[in-house]
Amino acid sequence: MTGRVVPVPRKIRDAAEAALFKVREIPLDFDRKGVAARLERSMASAYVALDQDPETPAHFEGLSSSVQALVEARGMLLYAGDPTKVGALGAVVALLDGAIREGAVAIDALAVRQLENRHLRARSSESGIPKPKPFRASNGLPELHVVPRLPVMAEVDVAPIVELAKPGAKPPPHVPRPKTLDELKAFADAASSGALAKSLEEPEEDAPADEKPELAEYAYLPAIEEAEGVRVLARDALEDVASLSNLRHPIPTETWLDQGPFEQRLLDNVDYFASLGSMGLTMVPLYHAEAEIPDASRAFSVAFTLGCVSGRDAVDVAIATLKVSPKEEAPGWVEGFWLAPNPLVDEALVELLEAPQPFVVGVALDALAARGTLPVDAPERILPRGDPDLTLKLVRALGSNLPKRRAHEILEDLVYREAGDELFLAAATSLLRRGHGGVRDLLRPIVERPNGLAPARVEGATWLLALSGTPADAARLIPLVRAMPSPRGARALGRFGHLDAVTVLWELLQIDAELTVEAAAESLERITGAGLVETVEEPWDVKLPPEAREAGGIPVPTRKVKKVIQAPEPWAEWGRRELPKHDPSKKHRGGRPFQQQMILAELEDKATPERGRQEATEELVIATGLGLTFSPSDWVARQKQRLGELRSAVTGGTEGAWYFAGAGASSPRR
Amino acid sequence: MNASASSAPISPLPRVPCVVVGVGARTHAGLTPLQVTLAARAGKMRSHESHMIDKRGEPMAMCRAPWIADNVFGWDRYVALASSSLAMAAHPWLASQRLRTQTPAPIPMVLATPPRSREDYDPRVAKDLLRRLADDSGVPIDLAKSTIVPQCRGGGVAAYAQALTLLAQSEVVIVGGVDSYFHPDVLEALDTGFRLHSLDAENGFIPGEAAAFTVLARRGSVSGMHLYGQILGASVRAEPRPYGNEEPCHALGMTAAIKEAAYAVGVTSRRVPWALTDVANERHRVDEWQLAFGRCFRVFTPDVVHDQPLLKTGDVGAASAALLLVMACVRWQIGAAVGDAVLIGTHSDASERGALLASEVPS
Repeated sequence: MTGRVVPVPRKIRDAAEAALFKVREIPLDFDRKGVAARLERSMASAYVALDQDPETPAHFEGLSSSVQALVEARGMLLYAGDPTKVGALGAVVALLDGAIREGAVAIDALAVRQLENRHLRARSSESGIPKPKPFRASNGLPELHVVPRLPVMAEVDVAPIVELAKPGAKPPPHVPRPKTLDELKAFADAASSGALAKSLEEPEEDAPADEKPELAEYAYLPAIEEAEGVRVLARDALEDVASLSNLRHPIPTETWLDQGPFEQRLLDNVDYFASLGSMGLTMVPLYHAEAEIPDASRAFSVAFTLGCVSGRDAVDVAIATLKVSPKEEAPGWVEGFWLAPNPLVDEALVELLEAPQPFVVGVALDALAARGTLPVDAPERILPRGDPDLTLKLVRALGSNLPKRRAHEILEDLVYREAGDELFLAAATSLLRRGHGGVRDLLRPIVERPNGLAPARVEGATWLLALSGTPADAARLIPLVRAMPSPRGARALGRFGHLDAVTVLWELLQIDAELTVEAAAESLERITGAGLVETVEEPWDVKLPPEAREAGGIPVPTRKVKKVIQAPEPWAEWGRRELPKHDPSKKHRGGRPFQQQMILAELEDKATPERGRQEATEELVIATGLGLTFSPSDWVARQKQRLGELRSAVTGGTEGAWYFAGAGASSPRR
Repeated sequence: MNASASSAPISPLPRVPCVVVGVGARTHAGLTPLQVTLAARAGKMRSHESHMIDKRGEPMAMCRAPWIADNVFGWDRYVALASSSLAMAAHPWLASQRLRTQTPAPIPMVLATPPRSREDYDPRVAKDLLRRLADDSGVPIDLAKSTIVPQCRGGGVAAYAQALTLLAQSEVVIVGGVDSYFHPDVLEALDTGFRLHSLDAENGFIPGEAAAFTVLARRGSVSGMHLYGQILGASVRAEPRPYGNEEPCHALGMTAAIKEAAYAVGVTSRRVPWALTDVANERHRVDEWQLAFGRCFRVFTPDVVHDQPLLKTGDVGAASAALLLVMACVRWQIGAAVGDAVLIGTHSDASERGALLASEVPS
């Protein structure tokens, strides 16, 4: 556990939020919105206290108001029913009781402290009000914007989710209190004659339903409030952020550099949103709440936009919205939190690692892993839960997070234990990424004796050994791919770069398996750099609606694509002519002895497709031990910056060697 | 092309006496200069249909401020658009003056407004608009020294040319523009003249509305204030063959205006990396600007960027020049500018062609 000290205003804020989420479960008819408003006021006041130095009167004021609002909410809840008889009510009241008690103690202590230090207060006020941070536009990377505002609140639905208890006895009818002597006399007469009792027994006539005033109809559009207009503009910006979050993902016909303009437009929209100020911020939770079906792009919009606004309250609203969102939105939340520039996002996500919902913990794990800020005690928080999905996420995260030795300890424990195929391969990948050479001795037997093992485990082990192996592993890898051809196996041989693999890859061109043939041709080109490419007409990947499919479909349009020649003859001829010219003891890439910089060149090349960049990233980390934080899904501007840094870090080395963790292994010259 | 000109070293930006110390603007997509600028940068265009019907029977659409009702036209609309942006622009200057002298002196103002020839011309604009703006905004305006420039888009630059002259007598001048095409008579005339962009008409523009103001001051009197930019030159020339003339337009007016604005401060060797124009989709305006742009190649860097923000705000008529300058100033302030100097080009429906050269303030 972290053992960190949580400030009292933070505890009060968290208790108020927890109570707010539980209000829905109370099966009583009461003023839910009134209770919710007081809980939100308590949270807002807690932020005021958190933002101020504990010595200031504003801190005291914020803390007092926060507790006061909790007391009011508690009073309303007690009026609604008996907490000892209604379990959900009791739980909420208990939450508030705890926070109120702790707050009261803190207020007393603060009052004493402020009294003792009152001589300091006058001096501190001389420093004046800090200057606001000037607005800076986002160019390629997001800026963190300071938006002057009251604390922003999440949109939490407090409508009951349980059946309400039947109302109890009817409340006594209202009898107006006599205010004059005449009224008092009339009241006494009515009481003594029995007229009053009779009137109280008669059923009240149903009050006429409130008639809604008719809306005035205009021939023209009436003006709207400026604040309302700004909210409309803010929603528009949020919607564009959501759309552009999809557009920045690469598609087969575009290069990775083509994402740049979409990213800039996304950032332009976030800048515009931030310029709209606090009125715009109130739209964020509403924008998410208005969706009727799960929408990951809206989740991205909420997480990223609020993550571009300074202050913990903005992050907390995103977190609160995450807690009430469906799990289908997880990819959007992860990407939004990952790319957000607010450093407080890390702090908030770390707190989520102990959340009860596995989906929320999973989002926090993935986002922290991508940001490279997973806390050291994350394994102690995650592993005891025994949740396979969360364990898998943690294992993947350890491929780039936590100190190396600590990551090795945890991963070794998992990989040497009997683990499922997916977990084993994930742990082995992470160990290789962290420079653990010993795990290769677990991969080699799998490649040597694949019979009886799951194909996924064999293919995964082949791939990992190809990225991390020594020249001696050619004797294991090449026969395996010949015996069990697969697209991944063929690509693994291409990355492995041994010239003996050329013959096997040429053989794979002749089998009847389209994807394997394509992968074999690509690998041949990767090793030899023969330039045997042709331009072919490739059909677009068109997904027709069912009606169109049933009607016989439509002629699928095609596009011109440069592809490596898949016919075996040209390769056979090239092999006879050129292969003897190359040194078989060296690892080859593109027809030349391999150098680590070639991986960087592949990542920089705009022609490298998305899958190729992902594979190259994995190869880069395993081969060099560098680039742990490089991601081909990052902002284009940051990728360029990181690639530049890696260029200066990856220098020298032995030509034609097989690299693992920055060290090269050479084959004896034949 | 003159080889020696292309390889000539780029001289540093000159320091000139006229600096911008305040900006204010309002369009359909923003209430502040920052919002207005970032809305155009983010490509925000929110045009709405109105209750007015075009000749095809379709509702007319335009970029208009939703916080002003659709039954407010002309004079009242100008006041609603301009008052708050004028107050916003003047605030830094007035605040600094109050710190020094308690009571700020009245400030001369030059305001670009729609031309007298337009269908919605209201004589009150020339007579009373400045007084009304002074009353509504609380900005002390020196009415005796202030003028209205009713000359369409080109008049916006004419207002800056007048202001540069005024600055010889006054330490500060407010320059601005206000315009709205949202008037039944104006829209009907544009519709009749096939000038409105629509689903069936590519060669037309989307009408808009805006008010924009800048406060220009002499450099010597602005100590301690934020300097948004400086005005290097302003020129207005007449186009001998404007749109509608039987002879083809060769952009002689705009070419002369650009050269005059740029050459006056010695910008002759590919200095300006950024052009901001009022070109908003009408083909004759696109052609005219491209001709002038090509003729003045020596003024611009080889990789000059031509920005057309009015494609997003809608055509804002007489407010164009001031709005474009506000956008340039804000982009310099927030680090989102394309270059350190900008040439703003505006074209009237009549013959006025304006070119305004501005830049960041060299440190």
